[in-house]
This record gives sequence, C-alpha cells and structure tokens, in this order.
Amino acid sequence: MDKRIDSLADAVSGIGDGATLMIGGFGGSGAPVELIHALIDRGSKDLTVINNNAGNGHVGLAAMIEHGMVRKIICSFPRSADPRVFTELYLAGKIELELVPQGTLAERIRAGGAGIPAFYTPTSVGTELAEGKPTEIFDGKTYVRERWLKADFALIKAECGDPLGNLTYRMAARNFGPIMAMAARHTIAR
Amino acid sequence: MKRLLPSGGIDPEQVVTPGIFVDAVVEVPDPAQEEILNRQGAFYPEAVA
Repeated sequence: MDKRIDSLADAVSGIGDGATLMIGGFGGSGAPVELIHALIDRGSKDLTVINNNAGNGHVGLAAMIEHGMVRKIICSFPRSADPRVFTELYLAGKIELELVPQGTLAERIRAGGAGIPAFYTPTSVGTELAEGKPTEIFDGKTYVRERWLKADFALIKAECGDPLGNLTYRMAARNFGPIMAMAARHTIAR
Repeated sequence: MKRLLPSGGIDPEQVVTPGIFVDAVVEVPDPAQEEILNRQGAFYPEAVA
C-alpha cells in the first residue's frame, strides 16, 4: 500500500470543519509547520486541537488560532515563549481551553491509541483540574480518573519515512508523534 | 518527513512508528522550524487586521 501523497494540500484535504486534530510538537520541536500552513490554506473551521502548547508567534498553530480556525484547545502549557495570539483570544472568550497536566496529556493520548478508555493518576488531586472527575482510593492514596483522548486526524513531523508509512524521528522532535499516530483515526506525517 | 526512502530503506530495528499507524506521508525536504520563523517575525499567511 503506497501512502505517499504529492502535495501538502492533498494531504490535509480531508480535514473538514469540526474535526478533532492532534498536532505533534513540544514548542517548535516536532511541530509539523508545513502541514499546519496547508490546513490554514484549506480554511477548516471549528476545530478542536490537541497539542502540548497553544502556539507561538504568528506561524504554525498560533496562526491557525489567529485565523479563527480553532474552537477548543486541549493542551498542557498554553503560556509558552510567545503565546500572545492564544492569550488574547482566550481572554476575549473566543477560544475554549482544556488544561491537562503534561504527563496526563501524554497518557490520555497513549490510552486512546492503546484502547484504554480511562485510567487513574494522582496528578491534579485536590486541584481545580480534578473538579467533576471521579476519584478512587488505592492503597490509601487518592487518584483521579482521566479519560482517553482520540482524534479524527494527527499531523506529525518525522525525519525519515517510507511509502508504507514507517517513520523515524529526529531526536527530541519525536515527542508526541508516536502516540498521536496511534490515537488518531487518520495520521498524516510530513 | 524530511526524507522519503524506498520501501525497505529504513532498518526495521530503527522504525519508531510502524506504518500501520500512518495513513499518509508527504516529503518536505527542507522543513521550517517554528522558532526560526518567529525570530524572523514571520506571519502566516499574513498579518490579521
């Protein structure tokens, strides 16, 4: 099965309004900038984006947010190097935020790919982030139940690939790529 | 990815994400780095308002 696609525009052509997207990257490391820009050219709206951050500057994910394409962002650290675009929209009530501790974010994505609907973690117990979530005590310690994360699409950056879709990553740019590829229904690598 | 190799071009021991989890691959030989674009003051596609 040959999974090669000639153009970035063709690769993102199936991402319609209202889709849930996982986008790889830890800050700029591993961010699939060209795929995000192709999606901006396509102009999909009302998207839910799962990323470690909420974009920097005015390119990549920040540009998607700036162009009003993102309804909701699920991330661990929205206050990164230059998050002015997200911050302004958030303070204006124009974008929804689901804040997830970073390890919990990674495990929720991994659980989505592994077919595990929920798991327990001590992270966030007793904080606002745990409000409304079921808790349980194991061996005398309280844990919060967290749900898996799945997505319609994953956009990830790889170093080498082959026509079958096998991927390698460059150093830390690997970050969320492998688990997002597993948790999404349709994974696009560039 | 930065380099699209022929089938069998990646040592199986080096594959991190098996192809079964990937649906589409697009080669981008000279990928942009977000931090560099930001240091240049880049906007995409152009400044809003």
